[in-house]
Amino acid sequence: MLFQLQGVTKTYGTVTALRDLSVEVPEGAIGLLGPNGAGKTTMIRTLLGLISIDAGAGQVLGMDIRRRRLDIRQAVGFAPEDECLFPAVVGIEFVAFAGELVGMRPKDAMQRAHEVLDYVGLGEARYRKVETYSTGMKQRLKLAAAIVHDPRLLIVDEPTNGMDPAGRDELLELARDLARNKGMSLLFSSHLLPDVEAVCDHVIVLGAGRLLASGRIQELKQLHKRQYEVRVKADRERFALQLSAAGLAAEPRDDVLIVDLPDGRGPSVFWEAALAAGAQIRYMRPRQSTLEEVFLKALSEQR
Amino acid sequence: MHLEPTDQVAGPSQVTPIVELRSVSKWYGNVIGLNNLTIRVPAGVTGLLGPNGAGKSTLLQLATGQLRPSQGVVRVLGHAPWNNSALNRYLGLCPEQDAFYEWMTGWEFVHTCARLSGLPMADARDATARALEQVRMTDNMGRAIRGYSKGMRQRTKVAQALVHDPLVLFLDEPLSGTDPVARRELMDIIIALGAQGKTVIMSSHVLHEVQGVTANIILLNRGRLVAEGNIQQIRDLIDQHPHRIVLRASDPRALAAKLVRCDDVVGLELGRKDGSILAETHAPDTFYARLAPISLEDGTAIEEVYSDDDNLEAVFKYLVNP
Amino acid sequence: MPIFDQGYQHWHGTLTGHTWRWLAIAHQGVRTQWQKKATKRVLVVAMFPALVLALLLAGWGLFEQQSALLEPFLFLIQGLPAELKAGPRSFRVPIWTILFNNFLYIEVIFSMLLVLIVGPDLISQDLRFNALPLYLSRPVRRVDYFLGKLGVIAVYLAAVTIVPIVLAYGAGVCFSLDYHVLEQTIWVLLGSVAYGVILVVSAGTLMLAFSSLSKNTRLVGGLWLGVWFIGNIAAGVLAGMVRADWCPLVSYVENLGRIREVLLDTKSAWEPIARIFPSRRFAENAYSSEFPWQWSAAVLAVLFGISICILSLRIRSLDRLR
Repeated sequence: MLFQLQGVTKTYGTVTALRDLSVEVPEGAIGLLGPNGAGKTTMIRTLLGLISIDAGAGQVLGMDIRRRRLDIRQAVGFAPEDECLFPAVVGIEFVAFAGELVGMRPKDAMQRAHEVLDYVGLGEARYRKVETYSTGMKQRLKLAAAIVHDPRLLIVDEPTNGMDPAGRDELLELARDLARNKGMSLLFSSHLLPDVEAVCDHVIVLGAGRLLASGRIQELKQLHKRQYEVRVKADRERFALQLSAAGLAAEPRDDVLIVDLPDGRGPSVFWEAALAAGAQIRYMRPRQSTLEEVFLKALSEQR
Repeated sequence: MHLEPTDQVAGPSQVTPIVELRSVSKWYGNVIGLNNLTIRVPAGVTGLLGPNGAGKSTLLQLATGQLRPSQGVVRVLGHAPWNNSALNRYLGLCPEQDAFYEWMTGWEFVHTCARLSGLPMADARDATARALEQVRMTDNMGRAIRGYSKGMRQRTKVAQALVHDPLVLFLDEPLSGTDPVARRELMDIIIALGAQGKTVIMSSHVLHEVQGVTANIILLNRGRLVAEGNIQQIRDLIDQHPHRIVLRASDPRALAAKLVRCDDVVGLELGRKDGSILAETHAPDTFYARLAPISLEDGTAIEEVYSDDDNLEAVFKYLVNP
Repeated sequence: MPIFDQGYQHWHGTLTGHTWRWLAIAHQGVRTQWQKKATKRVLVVAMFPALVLALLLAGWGLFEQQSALLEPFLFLIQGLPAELKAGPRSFRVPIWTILFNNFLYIEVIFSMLLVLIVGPDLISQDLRFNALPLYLSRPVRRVDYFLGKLGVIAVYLAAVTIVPIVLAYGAGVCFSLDYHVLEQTIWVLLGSVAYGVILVVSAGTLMLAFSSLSKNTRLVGGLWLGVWFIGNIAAGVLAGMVRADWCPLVSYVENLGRIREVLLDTKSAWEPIARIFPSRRFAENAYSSEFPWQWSAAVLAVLFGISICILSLRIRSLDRLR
């Protein structure tokens, strides 16, 4: 069990950030989703033992969030969303200092900092002052500072903010590698749902301080086995006509056609229609809801 | 004020370009921002992409009249935007930076922008209410901006770009910091604007957002134009990288055996984790055309077909890091 | 296995306990501030009074022993009162007290200057670059952060006050060659060290409070200069206009001086000196301030309390909404 919260409530004045939140999460790569103001930041801070909760209990990696707050932070790494830097240091000093703050000895911290900077791909740049770094380099630096002490759980908040597509791909690749191959559990909080899908297996959705949905991504995204999405090149109307001639209803959406296959008929009907209409089928797959649909559905169920 | 087009649009394209750059270069001291760029942007939604430092912000600043080109000619709606305050009435800009008058409420801020664009008092009030309703900020418009979250600030920025009902809209990372709900709503607004015939140029690093609103892109790299037009067409033109097409069949190897005989197939990958096969071809038209007959033959019924790299991510990767 | 994995490696070391966390912060701060040229220059110049103190103490020791080494200086010694030349040892404590007192009085200037150079960056740069979440999301409490930053100021102030005092004291003891020197003069040492500690705590906390008020380092430096100079000037002006006892309370440096005099008991040190030198100059020096030392202590305590309040407000823990 990676972490669990039981009935956690936290209010700040009139605002209830977390409302009787109970969630149990296994080890692995977990996505944390939720609209703005849902309590994601407060939940992350609760997991880090940074705030004192009004009610409820919780354990992170087996450690109680009320009693062992400092120990939790020694086993957890956190890369915050905002722009954060230690001033007036070069990259390698930044990461080594971050390690010393967790309790590493200075020599261990320096050795490990170099290793970790190799892993995130900051080469010679580590000898330059951090104020001169580009956004992509700062994000990598933050990640390096979060994993320098080899935590069992890594929490990242919007790690690809402001990065260009190449950098985003590399960072997601690093996150995937850490979670899937290197046995580090990952809590990935992001608004970019395709990023979360690419990295995580399990997802939790928060809304207004409560848990709205939780489960494996593959299970939440239902596979509609009898409903197909088909995209053809060129003439879509002729193809649709052929399908209706064969007794199938085709609903156009964006650039695809959604077709319900009745029982007993297979995808061969599409090929027959394509041959008859002289169309090329470029995309033909059973429809699977996207993570965005899962998310919006969970939110609408709340209301 | 009524603008008369001063330049006749020349060129072979039949679609009238709304934003046009002809051999435009811009440098800052020694550093090159744009290098000999010629683009024609038609009506509708166009995505503006490129790695960091590619010149996207420079392009947007030139088109909105904040910068003057070092070389070349910039025309928006037929007029030069530099020093042209009359033109600004028809342009809307949602910049990337977060610079507000923090003490103003959302309503006051958008209203001020409306008045600054030249709307008379009564119209400005209606337009502000409408714009804030469009971006779903009506509940929060009475609060000071300093208390806004990132998503709310972003929506206010889009509102001030829309409030004076411009003909051309320039959006620089409009969806950054927004949660999926706001993201979906803003994307729908942008698609609707394009459908109404307005021109929207949206610059973003998040490729699936761009792909969600438009199929037309402009790709810049190092200040130069790399590609322009429809994503699918661009993909078809990329010769060096064969198209990767995934096929799922009940008997994948039999299907592979039939495909290996075709001249245009240059590679086949078998033994993939989910039982599908991957075919690589340089001639997608020929390949896709033969799938229907093959599927209807005995033993090689094809259950699923899709392309691995028919999307914007692949196009971007192939063109920027060849 | 001949080929080694270049990817991520796990780390199997141990993490130290919590108590030394502030040391890492202090070490980092000292290293950063050491890189400034001004720091090094001031430290070098601050060494001169320390050298002079050591020389004078050594000279006094030789004088006590009526050593032959002092023969070149006989012309100076001729003018001294007979009582002094007959039995220097009975004046040892007053002379040492006065020497240490004057040394610390001169070093206050260097102390304030060092705090001006080293102090403003400490918290204001962290606020400017938003480093606090990085500290607080690790097992670092606000107390550790504060102690670490105070430690930076403590190291530099100790280098110009406590360390020279201890070393000069050692030199004085060595040159005295008398068993009783330690038991007689130990209070001078302890008083000086206590003053050094109070200086560190008071000036350090005050500077850290200023540093936490603004992201602009120059403003913080200006505030510190204000406390230093304007306090002195105001005290002088008030003394001229109002001529009351409490006027020196306005000056921060004067308050420190008052506490120093109490700790070293300079009043009783000047009495025997004033007796053997009947000229009035020394009599006036005996009483530099008339008001009770408890007032100065109260002023310093209040400043300390306000500083702690400011610090705890500005360095907010992450237990908040945004």
